Amino acid sequence: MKGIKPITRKELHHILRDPKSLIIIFMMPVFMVFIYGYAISFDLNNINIGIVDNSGSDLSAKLVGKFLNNKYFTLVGPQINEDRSIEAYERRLKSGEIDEIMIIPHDFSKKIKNRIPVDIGFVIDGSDSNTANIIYQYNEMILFSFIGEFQNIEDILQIKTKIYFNPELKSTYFFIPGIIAVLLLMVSALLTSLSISREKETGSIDLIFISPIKSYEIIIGKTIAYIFVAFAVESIILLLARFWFGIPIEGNLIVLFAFSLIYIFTGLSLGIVISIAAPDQKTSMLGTLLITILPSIMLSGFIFPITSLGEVLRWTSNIIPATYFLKIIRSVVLKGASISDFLVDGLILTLMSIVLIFIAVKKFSKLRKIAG
Amino acid sequence: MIRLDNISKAYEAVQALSDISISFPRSKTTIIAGADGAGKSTIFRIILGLEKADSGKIYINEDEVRKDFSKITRISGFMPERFSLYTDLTVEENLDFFADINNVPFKRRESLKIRLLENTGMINFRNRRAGALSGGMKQKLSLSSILLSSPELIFLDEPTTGVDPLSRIEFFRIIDMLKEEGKTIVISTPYLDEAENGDHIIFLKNGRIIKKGDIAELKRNVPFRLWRILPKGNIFELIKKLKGKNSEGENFFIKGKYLNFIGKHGDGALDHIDAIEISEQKPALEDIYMYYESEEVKGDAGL
Repeated sequence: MKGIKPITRKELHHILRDPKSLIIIFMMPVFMVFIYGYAISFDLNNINIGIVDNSGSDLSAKLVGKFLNNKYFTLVGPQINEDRSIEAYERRLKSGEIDEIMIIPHDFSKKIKNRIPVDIGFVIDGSDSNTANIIYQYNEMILFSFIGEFQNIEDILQIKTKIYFNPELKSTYFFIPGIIAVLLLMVSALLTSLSISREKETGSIDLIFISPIKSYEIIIGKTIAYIFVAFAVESIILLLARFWFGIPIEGNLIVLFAFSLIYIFTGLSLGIVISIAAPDQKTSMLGTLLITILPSIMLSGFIFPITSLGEVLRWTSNIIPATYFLKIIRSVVLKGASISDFLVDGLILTLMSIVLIFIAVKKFSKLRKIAG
Repeated sequence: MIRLDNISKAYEAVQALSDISISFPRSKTTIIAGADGAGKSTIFRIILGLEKADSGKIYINEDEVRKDFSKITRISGFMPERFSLYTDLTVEENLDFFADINNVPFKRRESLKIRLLENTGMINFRNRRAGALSGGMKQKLSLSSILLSSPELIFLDEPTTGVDPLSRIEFFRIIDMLKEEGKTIVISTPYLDEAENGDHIIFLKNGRIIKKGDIAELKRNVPFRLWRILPKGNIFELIKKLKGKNSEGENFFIKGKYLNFIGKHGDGALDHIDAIEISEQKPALEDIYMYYESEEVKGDAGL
């Protein structure tokens, strides 16, 4: 038993004398506690709804008012009654602009007044199965509240719901494309961050730095090699998704891989930036995991809908690359969307990638003190 | 020729180099000798542009190098103290990689590679992973990787630290071959017996030069005499006795079972000492270093 004390003391010295790792180790749980405690809830506040009111009656306006006069639903699209085309709303649903469409039939008012059963149609985006389930429950809740204001007509309002892109609301449809977004960023960042910090630790980087090779050649050479690895990871998950989990891949794979390439560049550049700041491989690895995995899982919409995040974190989600790639991959895989459907997300991701590549090259050149 | 003029460098509170002014004569071997932390590696890193000096100037052929260190690196080869090649690559893959990044033409590289592998006795290990090589072999591989680009200047940072004695002999055999080819070689080492292989020497201590010059000349003009004493009794008792006398210019240090005594004014201090043997010796570089090192200590203490 005498041996315990020196071992414990030694281990405590290791822990306390590596402040950078210690900060990362403490930051992770503190970050998570705050996110779960204050910022994340499973309540949805900003469900974007498109409404097709074919009735245009006072009664239908009252129903629409029920949906819009609360914190849950926000109307997106043209003014009620101006655009009756469901197809236009479906396009918005595909691009992620709206989460659901409510369709009120033209004879809504007449049937209610005559106490004849009437269907209220809903089309919900099922690509995020959790959100879709919550939206379904909110729809029911508001309709019951609406109908409760009338006497003896409880049974005449019938909800007809159609789920697009994931009709069975399988969570695997939702999670597997998401896991590609999380893993791709983590793997690509980890590859470059470990590679450079290992070379820093062994001194190999000095031998490269004093050679005539240019800094940009070093970065491009490294990234090309790791792009193959990252693509292999993505392909394996996609193959598993398609053939093991039976997730249909609706969209164009070339488009998906093109945006994956941009996303991988983002991860690789991020890894370079982290490795330059980190003093050793261990810190580099911990830092990469902290910076890539945690925000990608918690704040990108992978598990928690961005609309359910607190205001600060909702803004933070805008600077997380996974937020944009997640929308792209879910759109392509589950909705069969084309580039025009996620053009803004694609452009933001590309811009992020360019900025990060620029920062990585700058930081790397600074690390290399000699003129490259 | 590379020349450093009043180079200083500090890492936070630690002064790594203070006003270092040195040059490395062409086609000669210069040894930078000093203990760990003396600043040997920092000199190399500053010359190669891997670290920035806080003050001072660097010249190559009398042209000052300000930012473009490629003027130096394109004619230099550098072997760091730690094995810095890729342990997961084979001997040949490592050589090919460093030849590639140093723009060594393929035709010249292939013949040179074979010659280097043969000269270093590694031809049969060309397909072995570098991580599986012995310490001596790793150093030979490191040296070979820099020789592929046929540098005029070769900087070797503690090339034999942690290497077995036979490999050290073998390593210096290769260095001799390079000397014969007219290469300018700079070797840092904490081992003063190795320093005997050089033409010039720079003794470094705590980032300061305590003595520098031509090795043969230093040996010819030693300002002290050296006696080797084999004590009759306990060597530490003898040290205690000699310390009590505390004469100016005298110093002593243990070397195996002997006590080396450095004196300026003859062997009077050794009268009445119980010894089996007292003999005057020709000072080696190690003794010369010990002398100047002790003078430096006295200087530091204001003696």
